[in-house]
Amino acid sequence: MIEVKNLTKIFNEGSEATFHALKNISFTIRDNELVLLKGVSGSGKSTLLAIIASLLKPSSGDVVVEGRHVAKLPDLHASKFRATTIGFIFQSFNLLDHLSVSENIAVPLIPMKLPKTELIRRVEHAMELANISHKRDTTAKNLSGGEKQRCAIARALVNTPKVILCDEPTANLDLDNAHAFVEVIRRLKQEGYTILIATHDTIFDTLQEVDRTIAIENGEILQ
Amino acid sequence: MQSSFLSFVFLLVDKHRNKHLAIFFISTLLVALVSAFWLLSASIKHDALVALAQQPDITVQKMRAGRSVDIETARIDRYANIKGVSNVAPRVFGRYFTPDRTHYFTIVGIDFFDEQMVKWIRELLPQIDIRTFLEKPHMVVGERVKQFMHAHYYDDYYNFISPEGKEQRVALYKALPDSVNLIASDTILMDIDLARRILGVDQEKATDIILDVPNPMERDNIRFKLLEMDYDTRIITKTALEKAYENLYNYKGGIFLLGALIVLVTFMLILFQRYTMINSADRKEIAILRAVGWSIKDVIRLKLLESLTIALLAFGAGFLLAYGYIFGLHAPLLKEIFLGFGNLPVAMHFTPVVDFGMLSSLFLFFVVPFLASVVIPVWKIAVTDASEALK
Repeated sequence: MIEVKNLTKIFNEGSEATFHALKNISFTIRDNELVLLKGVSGSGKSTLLAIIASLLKPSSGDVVVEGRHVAKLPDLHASKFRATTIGFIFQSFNLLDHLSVSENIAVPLIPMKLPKTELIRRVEHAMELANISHKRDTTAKNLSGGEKQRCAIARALVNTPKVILCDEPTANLDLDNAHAFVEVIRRLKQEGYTILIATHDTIFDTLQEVDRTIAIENGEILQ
Repeated sequence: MQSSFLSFVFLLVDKHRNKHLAIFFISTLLVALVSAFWLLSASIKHDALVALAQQPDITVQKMRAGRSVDIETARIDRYANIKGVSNVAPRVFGRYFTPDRTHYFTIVGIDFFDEQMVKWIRELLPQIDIRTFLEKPHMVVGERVKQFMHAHYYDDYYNFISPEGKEQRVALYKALPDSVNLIASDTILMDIDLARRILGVDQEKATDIILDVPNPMERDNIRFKLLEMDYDTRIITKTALEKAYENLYNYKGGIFLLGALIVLVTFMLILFQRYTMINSADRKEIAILRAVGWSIKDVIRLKLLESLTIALLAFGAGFLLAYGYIFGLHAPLLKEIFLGFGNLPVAMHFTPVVDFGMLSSLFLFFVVPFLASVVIPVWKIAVTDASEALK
């Protein structure tokens, strides 16, 4: 479950360039819900996802994910929270270009001090889930857009997170790959993941598994 | 457990090899340069002190108008009666200039009836057969003297000319070992009477008189007694000689330490410039690691180990390079700076000496700034907002 309570984020607070990215936002996402966060560029979607993932600290308010107050977590706890609870899929994939697919997928597991056999098992499983096993040794920079996205999905799933956050996941994909991604989301929803997708792509509108859509504009939720 | 992390470190070192290559070569070169200075300095100092250990405990010279002149051997009996003195012997030595006066050898006469002298020469040349040596005029020469003679077609003997113009043919017995080449490269050892004839020293005189004083604490007392006995003498103790050598090499070492510091500071500046200019790819890599669950500590540990691997490889390569250059190739060019060009060029074969104190100092001077120049900017990036770099 994700609970967002009176969340506000102000950038450059106190200066002339003060910018209110999020304004007193509150909502709840239940377990195994698939929620779309819709809004135009600059509406505050990415900022909201970053705060839920504990990558960014809010100016005020609280975020509770799986019973943990993550808004003000110190770095060590925030990192552990991300490593165990959150799978993040980015718009620009954010892969390490010089590493192979399997090495990219293994990256979140490296600091976990897992036995090597367990690490390999998890990577293999994640590659199968994302259907990218056949490209395991290909360097990330040599992948197509769709393959990069599948690699990023596998990396997001490798630590068996409870929550999956997707930030504009289809923005850099062609239509076929975007449909393939929608299929993956459908499967993940069926497997019980809680999913929050920030997007302005209409491709998700027809997805029957979507439980709710939250519209956001100028940092505020539209009722 | 830890191996996945280390494997990842080595994987990144390999993947980032192009990025690290330049700094690896610069670092290797600088470590090699500084190590070469220090290895050479340590080796020369070691050889000098080994050679110094062979010197007499006290040397007495006769002075006239501030210059050293030949001393009467009759004084030997008086000096032998001083308490604490175990052995007294005359010594005859001096410069012998070649007929064209462009080079000279240092001739040292050995009294083969003196037990201490015989002991000393046996330590220096264990294979010497004194009976054979004294059968006819023989000499033991330094490496460069041998080379000089060879260049002038004297392979088995040399014709010396005394101050009276008489020719004296002396056969070559052996060359001195490499270990004493630093101070004895231009030296010729021969029987004391033969040395007297060649150098023109009277039979009842010597160049100086040497005394053995087994107790180092007594040397200063005996020095004063000698000065009281004869006002025309200059006394040189081994302790004073050791201090002079120490000062000389510490002074030279100091110059090179200064040079090494300048090199290291330059190196730090290069490093600082290299790593503070962390590009957007590096920023993004750190941000990705943070986003997928790496803590700041994990990121710093990764970059620290990555840099440490480079630093250790560069340090090892640089040190081995310097070791090979000094002790394998005998330091071409660099030894001239240390030794200069003397009368006869010194034939050096440096004794391998590694001062571990020096080595660890160099390691600290090198590795600490190296790691700091990486970790500080990495830390600055890691603590900033990762989400910004991921946009």
